[in-house]
Amino acid sequence: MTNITKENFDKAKNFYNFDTLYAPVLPGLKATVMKHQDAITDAFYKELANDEIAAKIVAGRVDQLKATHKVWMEELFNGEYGEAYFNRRYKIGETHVKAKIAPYFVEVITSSLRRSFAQILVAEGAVAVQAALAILDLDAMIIIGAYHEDRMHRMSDVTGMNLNLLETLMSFG
Amino acid sequence: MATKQEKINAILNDLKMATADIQGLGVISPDGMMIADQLGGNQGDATAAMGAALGSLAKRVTTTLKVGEFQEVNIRGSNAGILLFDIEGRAALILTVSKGANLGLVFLEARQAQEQLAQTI
Ligand code: HEM
Repeated sequence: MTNITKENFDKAKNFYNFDTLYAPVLPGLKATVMKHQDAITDAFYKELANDEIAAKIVAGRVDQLKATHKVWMEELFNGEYGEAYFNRRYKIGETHVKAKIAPYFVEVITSSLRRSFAQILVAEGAVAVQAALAILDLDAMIIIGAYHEDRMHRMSDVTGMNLNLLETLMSFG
Repeated sequence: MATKQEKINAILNDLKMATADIQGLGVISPDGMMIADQLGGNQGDATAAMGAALGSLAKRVTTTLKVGEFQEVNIRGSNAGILLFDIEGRAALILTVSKGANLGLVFLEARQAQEQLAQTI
């Protein structure tokens, strides 16, 4: 891991004042969201099952994945979004990278989760929806960051160019 | 006592004086930064980055095709040439040479500078 994803995570939190505006709100939403967790998770895997490639990736381990998904969702609302949180999320990203799941799937599933959260939380008011979407966006940023870093590392391996050089070269683009 | 920078510049000065076929020269880091720039013009930053890219890729190809240790790259353009010499993976010496240059002499002198730079950097 380089520092770029962590830096972006910290910058994004500052950018939308996450720690002040949204982090304190999230634990209060946990009960509502977890009441619907089964339905959200089922919808998540149903959508994946509709895609031929994604269906193959999750085939035979949906129940196990649903359990990890539940833990992931609970952690969204734990109220702690520091270094340990980042590291756990980055590891999830690395797991998907290693499993060769195209980042496209993560993007579309995140979109589907956004819609589910908005639907469930709309009755709790705008700030509730905003907070849930803010943490989902941060999670997606970390997971996609792991993909980005993996691509840079592979580019570096195949060309022999170190990461600093690759960044410098792109600055001339 | 001369600083490292002064020693590097002195080696480049000597090399440049050795033959009029050498138009410009510089030493670059593997990160694509200019360590010493006597290339002339204002392309230094881009040259350093692209030179380092060239060296890294050449080294990678050399390893993949198992042709021994990477030593140098020789590019011939229609107006002039570019030579790049590895300095033990820690840096690279880049030269631009005139069209029709006496490459025998240029290589001889450049390899000497390459050795001196390896001891300095
Ligand atoms: C926002 C989107 C997603 C989240 C939050 C998520 C969450 C997780 C979590 C928490 C794990 C366990 C990680 C670990 O053990 O380190 C996991 C593993 C896994 N996920 Fe996802 N996931 C997402 C998207 C997807 C998509 C789109 C697919 C398939 C197309 C997928 C397929 C898998 C598979 C196959 C594993 C197990 C990988 C392995 O252990 O080899 N996930 N996911």
